[in-house]
Order: sequence, then C-alpha cells, then structure tokens
Amino acid sequence: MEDEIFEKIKETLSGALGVDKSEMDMDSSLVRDLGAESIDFIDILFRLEKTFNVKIPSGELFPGNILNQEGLIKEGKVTAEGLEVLKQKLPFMELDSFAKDPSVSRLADFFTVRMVVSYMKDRVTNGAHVS
Amino acid sequence: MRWHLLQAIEEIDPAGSAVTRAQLPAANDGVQRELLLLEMMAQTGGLALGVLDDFQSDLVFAKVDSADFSVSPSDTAGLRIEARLSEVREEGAWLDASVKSGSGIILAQARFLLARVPGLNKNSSTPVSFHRAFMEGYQVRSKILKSEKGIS
Repeated sequence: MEDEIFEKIKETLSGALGVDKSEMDMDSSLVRDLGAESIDFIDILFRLEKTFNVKIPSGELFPGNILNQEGLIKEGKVTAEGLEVLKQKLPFMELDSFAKDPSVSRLADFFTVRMVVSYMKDRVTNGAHVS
Repeated sequence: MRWHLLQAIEEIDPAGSAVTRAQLPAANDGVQRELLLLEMMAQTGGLALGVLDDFQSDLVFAKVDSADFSVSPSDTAGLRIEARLSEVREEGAWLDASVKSGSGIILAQARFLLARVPGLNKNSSTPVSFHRAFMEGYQVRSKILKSEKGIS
C-alpha cells in the first residue's frame, strides 16, 4: 500500500513542482531538493485531495506559523518546548535528526516526500486528525 | 494590483463567480497584451474569491495552470471578463476564467491559482488587495448578488 501511495504522491508532486518523478525518493525534501516554494504547498494540497479523494483540513499537513509563540525559538534554534510543539503539530515529520541541530533554517528541509506519504497513508487508512 | 485595469464590475456572485468589463489600452507601454488579459482574469477572479471572506484577505496570483489566447482582437473595447471558482480551500482557490470581446469572441481563457496570504500590509489591518479606494471607487459591495447559495 505504501508503494502505491508513494507512486501517487510522486505523480502529484511532479505535477505541482514540475520535477521528474525519477528525481524523487522518500527522503527528498520538498523545498531543498524539489524546489517547492510556499505557494506550491497550496497547490500540493489541492492535488492530494483530488488524487486521494480526501479532504485535508487546513493546517494539518503543512501547518503555518507554528513556532511564532514566545519561547519556542531562542537564538535561531527551536527550543525543547518548541520541539514538543512540532511533534504535536507535525506527527508525520521525522524530527529526531532535526533535534540534533534544531536550527530554524533547517526545518523546511524536513518536509519530505516520506512525511507526505506517511500522512496520506494514515489519512487513507485511519482518517488522520491532528489537534 | 492595478485595479484600474478593469473599467467596471458587473456582478459578484457569492456562489463563486464574478464578471467585469475592461478595455485593452491602446498603448501597452511595452507590456504584452496576453499579460494584460491574464491580469484582468486574475483581478476578476480575485473578486470571486475575495467575496467569500468579505474581502478581508490579501490575494496573490500564484500559479497559471493553462492559458490560451486567440489572435489579436480587432475590438479591444467592452471586454467581458468572467471568472469562476473551481476548487476552494481556506488557503486559496483554482479558478477558470475567460475574456470575451464586445462581439462575444473568446480572446483568452485561463486556469490559475490565487493564494490567500496573511496581511501583506504590516501597518494596517486593511488588505492591500482590497484597499478602501478600490472598494469604494468600484462600488464593490453594491455589485454583490444577493444569493441564498454558497459554495462548500
């Protein structure tokens, strides 16, 4: 099932970002490797909904402004409290390696194809919901 | 946005569409005619999307999925621009739009994405896209159709 979802997501991302499917793997970062910009994330959401015939609530897969609360960032790095917020808001993001160097500037790199696959797999099988 | 590219707003349907009138400037200052037609469609689409949240959000012309243009029109006045929402999310919408000449010939068609963005003007709560001069000058609210319908 994961392979099937992966294939569909590669197709979706290829359409949204104009990147050949052969250039994508599970660890590809949407921003760093595939060149996604903020506008592209909206397009990706539209395409995922259509491809998988599901409704993706606003802010669930690609939440915005999650670290703008006081105390979540200090000197350019996400604090321990901030990491907890990220875990809660982005349960499908692999945060372990980010936590080793939680520089805010690195965060976008962790929006990966794998994260989207994990989200969609959960969404399709369980109807994922994030508070 | 150069809202004055539009001459008048005909109607804004909260069910998901808008119609405007425009005229292609005789001298385009080097700007390609196709870009002006695309901008007219985007601005009309902005009205169709903007009405959904009472023109409180700023909108950005984000992506063009497709755009087709006919040969140069002989009648550049009285252009009718129609835009319709095809897919809507809180973050933005895909729209289908067209420009027809005064005699009804389709001059341009496009499908594009408008994105809602948090207030672009950090010094004011008034959106840049729907500033007061535009809202009043074009009598925007008076063009909104009374409708029981709504889009989901």
